[in-house]
Amino acid sequence: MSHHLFLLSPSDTPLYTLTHYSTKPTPSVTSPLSANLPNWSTSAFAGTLTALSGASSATHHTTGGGVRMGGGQDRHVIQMIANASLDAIEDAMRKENLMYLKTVDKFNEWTISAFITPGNMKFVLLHEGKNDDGIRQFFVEVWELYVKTMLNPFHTAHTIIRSPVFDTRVRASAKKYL
Amino acid sequence: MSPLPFSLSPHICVLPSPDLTELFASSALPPLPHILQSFSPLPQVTTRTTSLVSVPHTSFALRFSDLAEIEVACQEEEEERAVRTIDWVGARINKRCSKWVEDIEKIGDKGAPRTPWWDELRRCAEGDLVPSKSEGWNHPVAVIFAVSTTAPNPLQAITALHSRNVEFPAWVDPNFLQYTLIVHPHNSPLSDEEAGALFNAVKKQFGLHSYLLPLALPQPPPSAVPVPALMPRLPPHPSLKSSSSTSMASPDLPTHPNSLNTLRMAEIDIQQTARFTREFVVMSLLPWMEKCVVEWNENFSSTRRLPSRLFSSTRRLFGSPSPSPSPAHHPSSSVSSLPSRMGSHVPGSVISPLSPPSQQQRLAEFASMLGDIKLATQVWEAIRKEGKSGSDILPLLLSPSPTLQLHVMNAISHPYTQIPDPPAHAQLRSLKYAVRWEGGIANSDFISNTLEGERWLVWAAGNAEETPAALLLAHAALLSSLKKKKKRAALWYLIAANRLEKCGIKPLTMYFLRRAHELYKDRPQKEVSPLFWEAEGKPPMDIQGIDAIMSGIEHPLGRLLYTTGNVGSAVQLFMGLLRGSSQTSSSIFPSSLHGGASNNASKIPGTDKVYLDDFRVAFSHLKSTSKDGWKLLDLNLPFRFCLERQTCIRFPGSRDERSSGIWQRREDDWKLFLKSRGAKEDLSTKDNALVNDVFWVDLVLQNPLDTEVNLSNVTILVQTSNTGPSQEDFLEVGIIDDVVLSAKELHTVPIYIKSTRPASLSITHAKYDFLSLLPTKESLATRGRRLHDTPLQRQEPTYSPNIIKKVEVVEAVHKMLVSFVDDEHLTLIQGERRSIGLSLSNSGMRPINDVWIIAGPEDEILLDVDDKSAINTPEISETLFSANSLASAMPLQILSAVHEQSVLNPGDNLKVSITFHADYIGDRDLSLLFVYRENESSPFQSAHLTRTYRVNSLLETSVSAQVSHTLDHSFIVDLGISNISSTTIQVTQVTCLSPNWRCIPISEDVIGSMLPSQSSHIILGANWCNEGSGSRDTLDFVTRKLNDVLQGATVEVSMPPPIHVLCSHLSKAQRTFSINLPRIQEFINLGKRNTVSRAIAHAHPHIPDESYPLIFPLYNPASVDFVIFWEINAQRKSGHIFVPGVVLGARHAPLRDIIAEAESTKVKRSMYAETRREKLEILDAVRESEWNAETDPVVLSVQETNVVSHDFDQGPCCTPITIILRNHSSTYASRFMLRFTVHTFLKQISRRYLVPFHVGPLSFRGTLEPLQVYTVHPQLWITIPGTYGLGGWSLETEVLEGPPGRAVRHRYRQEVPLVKDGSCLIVSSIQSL
Repeated sequence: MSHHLFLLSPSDTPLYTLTHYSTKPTPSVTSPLSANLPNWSTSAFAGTLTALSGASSATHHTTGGGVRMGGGQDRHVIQMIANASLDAIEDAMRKENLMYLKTVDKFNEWTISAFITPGNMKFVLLHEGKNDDGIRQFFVEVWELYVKTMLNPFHTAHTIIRSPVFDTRVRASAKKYL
Repeated sequence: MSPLPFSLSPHICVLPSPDLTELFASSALPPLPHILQSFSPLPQVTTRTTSLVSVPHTSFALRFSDLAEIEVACQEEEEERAVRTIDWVGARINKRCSKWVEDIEKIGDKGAPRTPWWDELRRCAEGDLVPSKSEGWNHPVAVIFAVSTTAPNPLQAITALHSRNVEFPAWVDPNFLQYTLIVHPHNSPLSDEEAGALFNAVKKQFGLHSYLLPLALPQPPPSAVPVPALMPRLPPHPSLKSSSSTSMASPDLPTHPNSLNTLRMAEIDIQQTARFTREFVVMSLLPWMEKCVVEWNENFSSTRRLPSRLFSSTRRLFGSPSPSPSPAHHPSSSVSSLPSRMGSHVPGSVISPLSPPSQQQRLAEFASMLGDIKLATQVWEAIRKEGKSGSDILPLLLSPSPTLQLHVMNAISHPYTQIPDPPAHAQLRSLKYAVRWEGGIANSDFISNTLEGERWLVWAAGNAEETPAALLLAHAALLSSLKKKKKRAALWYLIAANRLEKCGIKPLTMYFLRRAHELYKDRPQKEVSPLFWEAEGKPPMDIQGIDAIMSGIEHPLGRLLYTTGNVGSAVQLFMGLLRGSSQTSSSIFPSSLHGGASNNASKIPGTDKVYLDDFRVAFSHLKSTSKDGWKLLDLNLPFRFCLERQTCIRFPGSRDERSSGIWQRREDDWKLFLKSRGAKEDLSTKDNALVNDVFWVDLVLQNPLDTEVNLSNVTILVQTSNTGPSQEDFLEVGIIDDVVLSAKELHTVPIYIKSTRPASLSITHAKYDFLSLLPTKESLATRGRRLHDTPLQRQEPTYSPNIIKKVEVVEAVHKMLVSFVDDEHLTLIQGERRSIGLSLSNSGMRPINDVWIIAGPEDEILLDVDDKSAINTPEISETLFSANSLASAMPLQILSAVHEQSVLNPGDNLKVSITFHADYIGDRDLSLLFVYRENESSPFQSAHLTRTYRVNSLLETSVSAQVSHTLDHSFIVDLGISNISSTTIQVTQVTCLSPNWRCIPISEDVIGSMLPSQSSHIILGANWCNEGSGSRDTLDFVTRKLNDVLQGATVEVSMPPPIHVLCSHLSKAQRTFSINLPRIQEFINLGKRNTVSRAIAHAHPHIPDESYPLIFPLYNPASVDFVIFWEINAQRKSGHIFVPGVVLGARHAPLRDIIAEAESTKVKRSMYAETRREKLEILDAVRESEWNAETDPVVLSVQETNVVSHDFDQGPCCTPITIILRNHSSTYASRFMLRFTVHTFLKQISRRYLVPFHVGPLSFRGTLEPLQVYTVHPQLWITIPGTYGLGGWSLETEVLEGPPGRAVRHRYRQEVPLVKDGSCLIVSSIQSL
């Protein structure tokens, strides 16, 4: 089971992303529509292209593997889902006054939980199971880590987070809660 | 409530007799069902509910079909049919989509709420009339038996039709209304009366559900009247096509999709048919249905009144099957339906495993059709609770609420949703539901936030990868974009495109991808404070989206464009994809997107390679096919290779980074020298390219992609400001054929430029062929500095104009080339003096009058001059007058020294020879700076010359000194020489240099030839000699200067006083080198200077080397140094080695006072601990230095008389011993006390010696003046022969200073044996004769 975390600035620029593969067992599927995301593989017509161009070495990249996706070829679909959920998050932000917005959106088997800091940073998490409490605690810890990062006077709301300390701690937190 | 969708309207089958079919065909009319369909929907129909409330319908839809066709279709397997349907829909869409996309792009209305492909899909889904096993909507409600009066026997024809078996399978609801229609054309053989009689007969026989339709059917057919288009229908299965349906026109009408559907019917016929249709519905169909509903409702409500448990148990008890249709048997319908039932059910089909739809379901469907919403909802709910259907229809009937979503989910969920490719019938069912919901719920409600109907479509699409699923997603995306949920819309368009691409429908795939692209790019203004941007000085909307999305859309789009032949656009897209994943995106994503274990193996491979390969293939294809067409595309690389700020211009002879420090030091030395001469001329440092001289532009290229690329024909563009001949005529610019840059590689490419005439050149652009395909140029101008002059400039970042690199190519007015005459590798022997030839040539246009060579401070070079007096000064000693300064050697002036005419005219060549001497073993560089000028008024120009040389070792030397025990010499100095080379050498001369000590060889003359590995020692006796002057001044100078250093004062600029150095030569040969020869003297000075500088640098690391000459002298007055001259005859080589020696004599801490002063000075606390530590280190270094040495000046030694013979018969022997006390101090007197004690003796002398008895005084006192020698003679009284130890004397010394009265400066006490432990006196007895 994988989790995808995105930290987005108020202008929706991604500042940090993380893919976490949880070892915990997948809880029972909540959505009756739980299904796999489409397997987008451009290789479907890579062969056509090769044939058309007559070049034997035109393209030979591996397909994304099975329908399960982690961070391979379908990275952009995961990112697209995170991006698409921003619509729902913006709605939820207007309605609710809380930082933890719980589940804001669903795309096939992916559930999207969000957390909005007072500074209007958006934390978006794509996950498959239901784990409200763990996710809330995870978000609060990430928030704390983010605030500590922001204490750096050279860090602004636009700065991409490259701190290895932040990365390690977020990973540890993900391991703990997700 | 909006009307129910078309597919939920009553389905009426028509069975025409052959004569009727013929009649219509002859009148150019379509089959009867198509004609009747043209009159649906009926306007203004009123139905009644079970509670007899009127329900007005503004339009009431009906569906007519050919009975035979439906019968045939029912035989087909449902799954097979679904597969065919999906393929058929895909084919229809595929056939027409390119036109649609074209039209839409022509209109440009992308936000229209409907799209042709959606309409087409909807019509295909709605148009299906074949009854289904899972729902009853398509089960016929009525069958119309139609005949015409043109039949030979119309009544018989009607009877035949009625008696025909309706061949529906068992699962089709057999309960339907039977209706008889008699068409009476104008040209019928029957008259109107006969027709009326026929009609009455039919009414009598087949019931009241009959109608006589008189038609004019004029010939020729009248003009066409447009009618609503027919719903498309799936063509029948080829193998199942029945003979009866062959006569039918293809149901997939109209054949020309875009032509209007028309009917060639006369006005009166239209009216008649309309009247018939209305009468059929109002008089027969609706009453029949209402009656069914009332009847079934009775059953339904009666069962509901009972508790459900009881009901079900009752049912179990009586074994009643499912509430299967108990066919209504009321008078009117029994007539019509009974025969058909009886007829239709062939005996075998009764035990069909499948049963027709339940009565409850039919009730619900009929109630829904009749608009009895209350009842319908009630029944559907009941059905839903039983776990059957109902969820699909409830959303259409209920008012919008969030519960509808649950119904929808329930309706769509089926066991196949989990698998990626659900079976076709499940897909088709989801499609139908979705289409009904979309059509049956008002659009505003459908996309409202309560229902979020667009999501229903996505759910319905599920994971199916067929055209309908893709179109469902696309429509969901369209609805989402109408709701301004653009990001979500983009996602759905992308997924739709993905699925559609697999179906091979390219135009639509591309359209969806474009829409996704547009929607993703279209970012609304964020609601953030303007300060959010201003605070960081960023422009608003500086939003970098998530990186991989854009490429995830553009890449497939590009490939599709390429495969569809739009290579130009594909190339543009592929190029856009090459934005260099390094810049913004990959920096954050690949690093963090791998797994939690963060193993590098799972790192995402760079996508640049894929994009680059695609670009290469597509672009080379474009180039090969379109000739020059690609130039119109205006392709510009979205990234840069050149690092323009690091790109620089390099001139010949200019420094590279490694050696620039050396040349800078040489230039500084030269400037210092000029300054010391009071000259104001400066060194011209302006770098200009010269005509006909090559210079380079070092182009720095960095590959921003994470894959290998190659650039060919790399060159630069140069602009000249000159008018005149075109630049090709005089300018030559290098071209690098191919540069391969691996991923992220940084590479410097030098490109040469040569101009054959003076010009002003601007280096404007770099030019190359990207991948050897795309000619590209990049500007090399750098941005000017940020301006801060005006308030406006401070507020808005403003920059001065771009800086373009410029080069002036000038005539070579002043130019001198220097080179070594021979270029072979230079290997020297330690200390060798080697003559090296230099060649100077004036290649400029003006004469050169003044040339200097500046060498490094450690390089020992001299100009060769003809010096014939170098040899033959056969003196044993001489005095050298030295400036005693550590200052570096002066630059060497060449022209005045060696060149008689003293002018180097243009084109002239001058050979100069220098002598080079190298002491330092190892590899080094000889870097010579040449400066030259035309005359006094012109600035100096410079030229560089470097050569690497190696020095091999030759001799190993050692110097040691010890106090002499004789009266002749103060010290004995031992100079050890060993030959460590592999050749035999001749040591021709050893010269000893010392300001204060004169050395005389004691040992035999060892000078001569030395074989390899041979070593020899030269023993010299050193005596104080005060012949030279300057010693005292030198010591004062050092004291004064070191005081300044310790006090932290500025060291005053003054040179040490000159000093006389005594040189004693030791030479076997007739020829003796005189030290006073300028060249030898110079070399010796250089050698001494290098040695001393190195020693100072080691001992005083905190004193900068520039100030050595101001603080330290060259010679310590008490030092003794040697110069060894050698020759190797076989190789005709000669040289000399400077051997730094020892410091002799006693000193008395001459710096004691200044050190004490420095220590006692009030400590100024410094802010930095480092400063204090440094000061302490300086003080320690001074305290430990050779200038502050302190030793006991008085040394005593015994003059041994080893053996004394005495005749003991004559009594004991009384013999004196001589003890010499020598004051080695040249400055201070010393008071001494010499004393003998047995205690000391026993401590010093081993027991094997006898203890002598002393007679006379055993202690001696006195004062020794500087350098004075004093002898005492204590007497020994010896009674028996033996070996007597000499010792037991202790000496106490007080160094005196100042005038008489004399303060004691130092006190020493030594208990030393007179000589070593073995010193003894042997007394032997001899008998007197």
